[in-house]
Amino acid sequence: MKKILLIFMMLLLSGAGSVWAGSVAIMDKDELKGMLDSPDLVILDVRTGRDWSSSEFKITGATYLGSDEVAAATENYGKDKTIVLYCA
Amino acid sequence: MDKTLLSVGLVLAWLVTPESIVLVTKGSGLGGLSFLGALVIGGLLAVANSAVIHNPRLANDGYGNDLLVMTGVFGKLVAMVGLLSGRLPILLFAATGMLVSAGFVFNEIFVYWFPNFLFAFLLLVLLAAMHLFANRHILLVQNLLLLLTIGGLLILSGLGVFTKPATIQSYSGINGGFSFILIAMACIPFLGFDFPRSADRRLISLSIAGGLLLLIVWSLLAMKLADPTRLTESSVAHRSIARAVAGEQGGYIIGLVVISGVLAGVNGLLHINRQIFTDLLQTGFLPTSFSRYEWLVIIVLAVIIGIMMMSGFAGDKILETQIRAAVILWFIYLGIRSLAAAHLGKFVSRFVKVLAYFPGCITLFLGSFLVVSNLQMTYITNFTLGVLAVSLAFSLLWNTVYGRHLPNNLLPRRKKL
Repeated sequence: MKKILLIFMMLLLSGAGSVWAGSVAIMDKDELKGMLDSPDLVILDVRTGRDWSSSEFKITGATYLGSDEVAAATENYGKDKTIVLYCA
Repeated sequence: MDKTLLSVGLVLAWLVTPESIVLVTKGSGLGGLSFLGALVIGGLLAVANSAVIHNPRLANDGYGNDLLVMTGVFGKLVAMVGLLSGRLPILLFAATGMLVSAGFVFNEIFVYWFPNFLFAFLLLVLLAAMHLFANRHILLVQNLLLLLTIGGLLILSGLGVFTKPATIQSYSGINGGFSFILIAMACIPFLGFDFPRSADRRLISLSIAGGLLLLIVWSLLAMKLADPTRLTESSVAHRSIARAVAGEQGGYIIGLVVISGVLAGVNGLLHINRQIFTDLLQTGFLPTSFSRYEWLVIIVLAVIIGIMMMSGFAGDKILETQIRAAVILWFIYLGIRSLAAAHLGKFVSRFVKVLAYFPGCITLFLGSFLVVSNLQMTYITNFTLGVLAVSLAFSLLWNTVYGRHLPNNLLPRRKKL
């Protein structure tokens, strides 16, 4: 019984994260890297909590915003801009 | 190996976590050299509280654990509320945050392509599996993790002696002077002295002294290699300090320190919460038939932590405040427990008995100070009251279903002191 529960827990824990992430369009780092010199690129770092404070990785030129400030901030940019949200 | 000796490894379970390392690093930036004095006071308070809580005469009289000491003074209902609110939140909230932080460290330092969240979950499953299938070796594993963490910190500190600081050294800190908040902050890493059950008081004091020395050395290293603003504002300053000391290798060492420190901390917290369940069974607070389900406690706790991690709790700004509130609840609980132990304990003289109340009183004062001095005081107060209300609801439910059949004090009447 203990083994079954543990296996179930492992499946639940390892699977659920990717299920949730599946509904979000993801840009990989190489794709972003190729766009970094573009003047139309706006990178918004919307990581909060430990996603932000525990990470040493910051993208040069990215603007740090709280996730609740994104909607208001994106209105400030023209429609010709490519807005990339860095959230995890 | 002797279980008494091994259980001493639990004393430093919290002290070696990244939570404590980050707090000491921030404290060093805030208070400079004054923070070292605060650390000494924090260590002394831990030794004093430990001396009262682990008074051998208490155990000889039957007050061998949290539950019986608290019941002996406050009755069974308050004892249950205290246990639930003082022990559980710190495990649930701190473990969620620490495991996620370990995931980031693994991803950013060791294997870039490995998802940080998956690593955090794997650590959780590993710990749960250890508690389920290798429970007899938990204390041995705890000591090995401690050795790894402490060893890493000592190597960095040793190499740091020869490192030339890149910035102008400042040992005065942002606030400079000595303050209550510095002392209260410096007490937090020493929590955990209450974890061992059967350890010798002298061994516990020795462990606390060793932990104090380690934190002082780390604090000096932090002050030497980074400016106070960076130390105070960053939560990853320890990683840059390690790299300043030994470059890429320093990054690997601090990576190992963080991951093994997280494992040691979560392992210690899981162990104490499982121990509480055992205490509840052994003291008759739960029916003996429940002993079959002891393993389920670990599964339930791990699943709750897993759900908190999956629901993006760690990405929420409020988690830091919740962890702080949980630490304060633990701190205040220990103050109350220390007072209860002082009340029940037999001491060599009336003067020593009066003295025994002091550590608990100071702990309660500093705990309250941590609440009122926090910028998020309202949230912390509400969180604390919420946890107490939920704990009370559970305790009342338990009392209605089972506990009302128990006497209010499970021990034989105390002899007159």
